Amino acid sequence: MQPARNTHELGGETASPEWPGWPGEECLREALRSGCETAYAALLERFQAPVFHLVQRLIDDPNDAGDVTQDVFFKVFRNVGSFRGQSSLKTWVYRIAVNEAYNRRRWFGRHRRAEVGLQPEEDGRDYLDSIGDPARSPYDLTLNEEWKSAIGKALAGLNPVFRSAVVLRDLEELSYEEIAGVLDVSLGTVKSRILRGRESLRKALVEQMEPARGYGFNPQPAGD
Amino acid sequence: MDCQNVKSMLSALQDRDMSGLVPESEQLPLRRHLAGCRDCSLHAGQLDLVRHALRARPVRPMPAHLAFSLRAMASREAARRRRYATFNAWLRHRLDHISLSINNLMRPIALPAAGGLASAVILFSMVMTNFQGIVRDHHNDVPLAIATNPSMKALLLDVSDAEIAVDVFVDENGRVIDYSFPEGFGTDNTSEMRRKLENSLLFTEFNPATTFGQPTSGWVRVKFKSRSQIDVKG
Repeated sequence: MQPARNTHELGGETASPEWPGWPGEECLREALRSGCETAYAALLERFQAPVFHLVQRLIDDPNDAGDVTQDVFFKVFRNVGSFRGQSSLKTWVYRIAVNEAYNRRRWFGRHRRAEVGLQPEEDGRDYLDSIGDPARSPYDLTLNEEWKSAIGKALAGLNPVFRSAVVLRDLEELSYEEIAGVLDVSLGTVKSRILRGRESLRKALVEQMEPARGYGFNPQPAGD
Repeated sequence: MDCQNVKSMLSALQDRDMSGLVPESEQLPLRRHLAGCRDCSLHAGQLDLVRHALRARPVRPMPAHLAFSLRAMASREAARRRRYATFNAWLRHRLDHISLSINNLMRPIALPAAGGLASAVILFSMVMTNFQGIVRDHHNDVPLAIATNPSMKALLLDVSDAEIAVDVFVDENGRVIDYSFPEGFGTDNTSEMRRKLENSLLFTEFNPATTFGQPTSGWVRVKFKSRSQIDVKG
């Protein structure tokens, strides 16, 4: 949240720093309920990228992030009329996103696991591999690849309950209170989930990056 | 402060701002312990590294087509919400919808229907001209009503200036058989008047009543108003 001095006058009313062009969140909610196109555009402008990234970090297959994001905003638009502002719009949207990602993970676990692809993956390479980086040596690239793979595996193996708490805190940088609102749990539960989530990730990475494989998990990270 | 306690607080240390997470009285002992204990320091460093690695993990940028789809969805949902915002808006939408449905339904059949109707009118008028003159009235047609009342054919002798009504019984030959004064009529019921009335009726010709076209007897009411006005009511 930006400081209050950043607010500026807009049409005789004070504009909200969170919602540029709108006097406040309440006003935006009313506009959304009445079907104002500008309000819908403002909501998308503010949340579409964060929700897409959050969903991508919470589900196992990043290719599904687009579909889940569409589901999230469909639910947001459909239910904005019944949203009475018990929490902030951000908390409400993030809650829907976390729930949708959780549902998608469950669906993935039930259905996608049994699917067999006709064409094999192209050596597990993604679009980032095609981007050249002359500043890095082959060793750095290998190490980086190992790190990416290890983090991805550790995150995928993390309990979804802990994963959502850690992602919201460490990547989305929500406050503990906001996370409690998003996950609809108490503040103590949020602290506990973040603590256990971080600890689980650390243990998973320690197990994967043992010194016997040549990549020590030491506390002096190389600059990215 | 032992290592177990410190490790439980390391997560809070990750958040930099420990206010509310670690009591203020324990923050200084925690930092002192970390400075002196290699195991806990390594643990804290590993947690830092995990956090760092998580943040460095690349995420795909949002595809342009997704932003476009979301914008289209927003526009559609906004329009939908406007439709149901008020009763009048909803009613207008329903009427528009019904009008559009009828238009879509009628448009394909409008031309064939109009052509068919025009053809039917033209053909009907062409055919009907051939039937003209087939049905005609005959001057000596016998009325085919089930029953008709007697009627007065001609009055040959007038009665008086007095207004009088009388019920006359006419036989199948049109002759007067009997008469009587109806209730409320014929206040001047004198012998002189009766004589004039009987003379008048004697010289009055009637059409007999009919049943299925056959003459029969029946009652008819004759009203004398003046010298020249006579009403006959069956």
